[in-house]
Amino acid sequence: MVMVLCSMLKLTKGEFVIGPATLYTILKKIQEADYIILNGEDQDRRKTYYITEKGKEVIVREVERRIKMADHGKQALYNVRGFKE
Amino acid sequence: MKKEKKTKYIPSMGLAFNEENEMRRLGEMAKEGWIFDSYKMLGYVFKRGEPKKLIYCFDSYRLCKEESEQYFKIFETGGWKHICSVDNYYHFFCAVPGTPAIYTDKSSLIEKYSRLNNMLIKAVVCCGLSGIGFLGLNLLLTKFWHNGTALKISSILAAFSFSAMFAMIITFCATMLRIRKIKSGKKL
Repeated sequence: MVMVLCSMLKLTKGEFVIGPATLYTILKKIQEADYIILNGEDQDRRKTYYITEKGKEVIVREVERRIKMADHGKQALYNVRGFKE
Repeated sequence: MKKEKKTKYIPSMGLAFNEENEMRRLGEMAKEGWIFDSYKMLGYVFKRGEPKKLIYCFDSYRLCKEESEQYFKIFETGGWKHICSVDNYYHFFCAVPGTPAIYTDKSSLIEKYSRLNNMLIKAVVCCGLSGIGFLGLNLLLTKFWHNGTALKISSILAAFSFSAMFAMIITFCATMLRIRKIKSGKKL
């Protein structure tokens, strides 16, 4: 989970911050929904998870949906008179 | 020479009604050198220490033994140090000012209070059933066994059960209002 927090900060350049309680709540939910499975503990007693096929499908579907939404938004902005990219 | 007090106790006005103010109060006490140490007897126990600038929060999550370590580790990584827990359900944390809040989105924050409400519903039902049970016992004692002491005890227990039930219903309503405020985007 340390890796999740650090990776998100790095990827979004500090723009997207997730609180620990929010992270833990989401972690439990996606585990219950079988999107991730506990892989086990390493030597430092850190828990690691891996994503399931079901989880991968959900992520791909969600990212595609958001890309479509962003494209629609862009189209709407281009159609506004006087707007330039 | 008067001995300087090393501990202080301040009763809670009810976290369901006053969460933000109470957490703010803990921070103000820390600035004065009274550091929040534990939650006992429905109140805060402070210990004398160096004045510090700290912020406080609490989370409600029923933790089993296996989950505790990971839960507290995640908070620690997020900058929140665990202070104490009550009934393995209420967990208090502190951090330096500027640390991001423990809940950073609406839906997970709503879930915190929904979990609390689910627990309250069960407690209300238990207290209600206990109260009814003691009232029933009262009736039986009145009809068949005229024992003044037993009658007094069952009456006190019935009154206690119904009082606890009433307090929990009020807390439930306060939490529902809180959830409503979060959903409508109003400041808590």
